Amino acid sequence: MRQFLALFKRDISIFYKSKSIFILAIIFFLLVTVMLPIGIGPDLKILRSISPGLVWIAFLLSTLLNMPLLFTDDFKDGSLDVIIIESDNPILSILSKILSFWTAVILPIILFIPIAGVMLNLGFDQTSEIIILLLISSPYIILVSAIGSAITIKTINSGLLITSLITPFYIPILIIGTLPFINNDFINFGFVRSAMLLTAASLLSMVILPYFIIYILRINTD
Amino acid sequence: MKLYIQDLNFSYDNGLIFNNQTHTLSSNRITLLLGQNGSGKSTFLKIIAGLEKPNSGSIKLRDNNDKSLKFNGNISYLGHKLALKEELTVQENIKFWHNFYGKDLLAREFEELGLDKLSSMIVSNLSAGQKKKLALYRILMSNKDIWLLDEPFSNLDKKAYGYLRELLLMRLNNDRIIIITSHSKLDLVDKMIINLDVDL
Repeated sequence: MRQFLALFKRDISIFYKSKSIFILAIIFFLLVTVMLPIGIGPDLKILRSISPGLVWIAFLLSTLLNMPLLFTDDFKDGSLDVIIIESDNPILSILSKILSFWTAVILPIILFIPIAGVMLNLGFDQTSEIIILLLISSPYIILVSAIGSAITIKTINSGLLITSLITPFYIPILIIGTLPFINNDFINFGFVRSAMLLTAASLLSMVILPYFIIYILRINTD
Repeated sequence: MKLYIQDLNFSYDNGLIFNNQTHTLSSNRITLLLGQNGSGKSTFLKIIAGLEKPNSGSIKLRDNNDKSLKFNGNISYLGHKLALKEELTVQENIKFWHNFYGKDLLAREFEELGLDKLSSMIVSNLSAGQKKKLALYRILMSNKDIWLLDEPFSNLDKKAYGYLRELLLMRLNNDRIIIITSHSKLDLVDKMIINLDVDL
């Protein structure tokens, strides 16, 4: 746990020093959510029906935008080798890195969702539900993305490659996360059911994926 | 403590790097891995560190009572990449290692390496030699059982080389194995030499 906290503190201080990382993620997220209402016109009914899905997509894309940063710097300066070789528990150390990335990049985006909600004419209830679902599913999202980041660690400009590799794994989460906001006679998928499924996906990913990530990093570092 | 290396073979797709490397490395002596560029010195260290997998062969670590030991958490590794955070200051890097290893700061070594004068400097502004000293300070601080040092004396001036050489010899004991790679024979007393050029 000592090493977990030491890594977390250091990474947060590095993220804090290079503020551009999370500021860019937030700007990208807000730009996508601002441009859509401009693009589809003033019909509030249409806007309200597609907005939850749009917030989800904007969130996923903003996350992917920054994923190359998760391991690349540590790989370039050799810190990743040291973390893997010298940690008492390398899996815990890698989870610490992922948690600091979540705190510095993912959490600020989630905190800006209410602003996007106002621009997209979402009500308080809908905005709250979206935030809760994104918070619940964020461990799955970041762990799956971390696999993409680990695979492409040696690739220059790996953003597009990560997006291509990882997007298919986002689709089930995207479907489950947006179903509660679809109103028609055929689909009746409530918020609670969606939250439970997303929690299950996140818990399962937290148990299994760290082993994959450390395995990929071990064979991919040199 | 002994490190048993048995029939180690390694090759890339485009050719053999080294084969049939069998050595018993013991504590109390520095092991010097000699070889030209491309002879596989760094790869040899990475295999011991667990960063590369050999094609065949085994590496085992045993204590003085011939009891098997785990590698995990027992190794300090200094590669060509120095594991320094360039955007942080010298002091911030050292504070991180202090927290990471849970070991005390080495005040005397800190001063003698000249790091006290650099402590508020951003690492990216240091010279190659100063960065190497800082990276070596990490190894000293980690105080682990096995030190794997990939060309630790490159970029160092004569004075720093002499000081670090003495420091390494002082840190040798029954419970520590030190392996160093180099292009040329270093004036380290009581050393074991593995010459990868000859062995190939």
